[in-house]
Amino acid sequence: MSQRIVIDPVTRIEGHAKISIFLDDEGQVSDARFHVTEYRGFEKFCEGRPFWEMPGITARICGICPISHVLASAKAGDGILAVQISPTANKLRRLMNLGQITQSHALSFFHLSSPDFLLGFDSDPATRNVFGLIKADPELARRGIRLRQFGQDVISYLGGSKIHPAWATPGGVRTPLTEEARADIKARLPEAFETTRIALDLFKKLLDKYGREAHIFGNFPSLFMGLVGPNGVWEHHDGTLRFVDSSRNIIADNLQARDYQSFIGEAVEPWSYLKFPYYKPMGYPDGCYRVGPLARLNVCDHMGTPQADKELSEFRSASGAVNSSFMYHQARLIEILCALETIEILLDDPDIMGDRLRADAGVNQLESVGVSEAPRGTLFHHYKVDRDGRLEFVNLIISTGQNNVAMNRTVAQIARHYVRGPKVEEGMLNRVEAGIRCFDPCLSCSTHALGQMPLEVDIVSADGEVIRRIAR
Amino acid sequence: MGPTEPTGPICDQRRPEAAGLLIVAYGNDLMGDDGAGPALAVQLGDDLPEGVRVIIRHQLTPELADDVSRSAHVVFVDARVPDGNLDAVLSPLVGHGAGAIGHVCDPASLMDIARTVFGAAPDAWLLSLPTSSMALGEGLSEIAADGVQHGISLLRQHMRSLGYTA
Repeated sequence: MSQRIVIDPVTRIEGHAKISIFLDDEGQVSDARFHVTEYRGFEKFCEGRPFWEMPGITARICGICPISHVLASAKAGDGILAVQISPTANKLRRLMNLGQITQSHALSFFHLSSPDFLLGFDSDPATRNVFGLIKADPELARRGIRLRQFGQDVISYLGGSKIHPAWATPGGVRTPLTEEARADIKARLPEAFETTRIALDLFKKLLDKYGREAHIFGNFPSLFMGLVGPNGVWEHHDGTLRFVDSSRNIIADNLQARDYQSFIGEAVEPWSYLKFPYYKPMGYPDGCYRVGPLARLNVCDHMGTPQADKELSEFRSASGAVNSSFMYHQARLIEILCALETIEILLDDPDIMGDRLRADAGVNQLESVGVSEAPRGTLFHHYKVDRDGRLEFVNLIISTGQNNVAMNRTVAQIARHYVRGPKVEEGMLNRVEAGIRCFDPCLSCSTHALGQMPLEVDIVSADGEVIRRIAR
Repeated sequence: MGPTEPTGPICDQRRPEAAGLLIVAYGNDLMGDDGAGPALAVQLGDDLPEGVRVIIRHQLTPELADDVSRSAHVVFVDARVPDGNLDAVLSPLVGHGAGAIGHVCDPASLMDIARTVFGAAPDAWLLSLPTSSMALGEGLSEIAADGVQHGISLLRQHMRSLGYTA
């Protein structure tokens, strides 16, 4: 009798989700699905509001990626005003995004995934968390928290300490960087660099131990998409979009965000609220693409900073793109390194202390698309407004959603290797979940919902009968 | 509604330089009454006794443990899932957290981090506020709005009892 195993909900990710694993008559995994089970219509909620409010409103979709939404929304607003923001405003926005990348990646690596690496995928789930990590390596845990704090403080220095800093606004930014803030950020950079180097060295050593996981966790050919800057440099805020294939052949380049509907389609499956974006010219699901740190490192030609470029050349496969989703973790650390190097450069740039912060303009265009690289991947905000600037249409394409097809493939791939029949060991389930954690998904954003979840596993026969349920 | 008297806290260790009262108000003001904590912090205003500091957050995150460990006292202010009780409740924070710290964490787990990573944790209380709905939307229900006023009253009384006076 065919059976289905459900992991419901998945832990240590943001939002509500569950995993179903389908077994065939021989107890082998025939398929697996990553379901998102919560939905709230955030886009509808925004209609009728002035577009000026959108950076502040969309930032409150989620407490995890507020900066990403602020920046993408402000860029969409720039388009409605039809203005080019000042160099100072642009560099300050970039500084804030680099702070966001640093803090978000630090949390993902040190607190969400390191317990798996350092304590083992099969270790006791009761202690396989940040407290287990603290016990095993208190200095690493402390450093991880301080690195995240560094990124958060870069954000706070710019955006203030309010709940969500709608500091970036259509036309620019609201306040400058102070000399005191610049000095403090600079003073704390050495420790941030040191922590990142420690983490990179640690992860590279762990790859010897987790070679099997690296080989199995979402290791398949797919497309990759991300922003690239001039000369193909790693980009996180400006630039144009590029797709590469699994051999790093460029299949589309210099794409403009405003044309996203011509190259990104969104499929719908009845078993998930999360849509399935795909590269339109290749159709669904063949047009599966990945976004985020791994994709950004695959699409760029170079990082643009010396230490990160050295790491990139070591990271890259000689034969093409890095295809294992397990390598998202290392990609995150390389991005932190690049972010820190770029912050250091920006802090010495005379423009960063400029006082030309914001362009004044009214509604000059009725439609605009803003794009930015969130820590988890490319983020689109698409607005249509009336002549008074009231929103008539809002569409958000979120990075986690764009990894949906790939996350499903990852779950299936891991399940096929580790799950044999309905007798499922906890370590097997954790590996399936860890495959999802490679992507560091934020389901609050991608479903425009909010919340946090516990975990439940169902094993269901092909005729729909739940024959086993595991809750934790 | 009468004030709820706090009983003893769970303080076990402090940083030598730890000082002041930290109020950490958190919640999402786009989710109806979930925004009660931040609403209380805003209504509390800037006219606070010396040594009192307020942090407003969408949710609790691990790095807040550093701020917590530098304080002599801390009060977490959060919306409470509807439970039939229409009062704000101030109670000492006891026990350990769930340990599932990631993108968000609970106050007790934050205290655990303060203690284990930063070596100190202050006396801590949780001020929980009544709610009726946490659906998508802005503004507080009448129950939550009344709860915020009651919470402010409890908090001001608590500040005085700890020696924080204007």
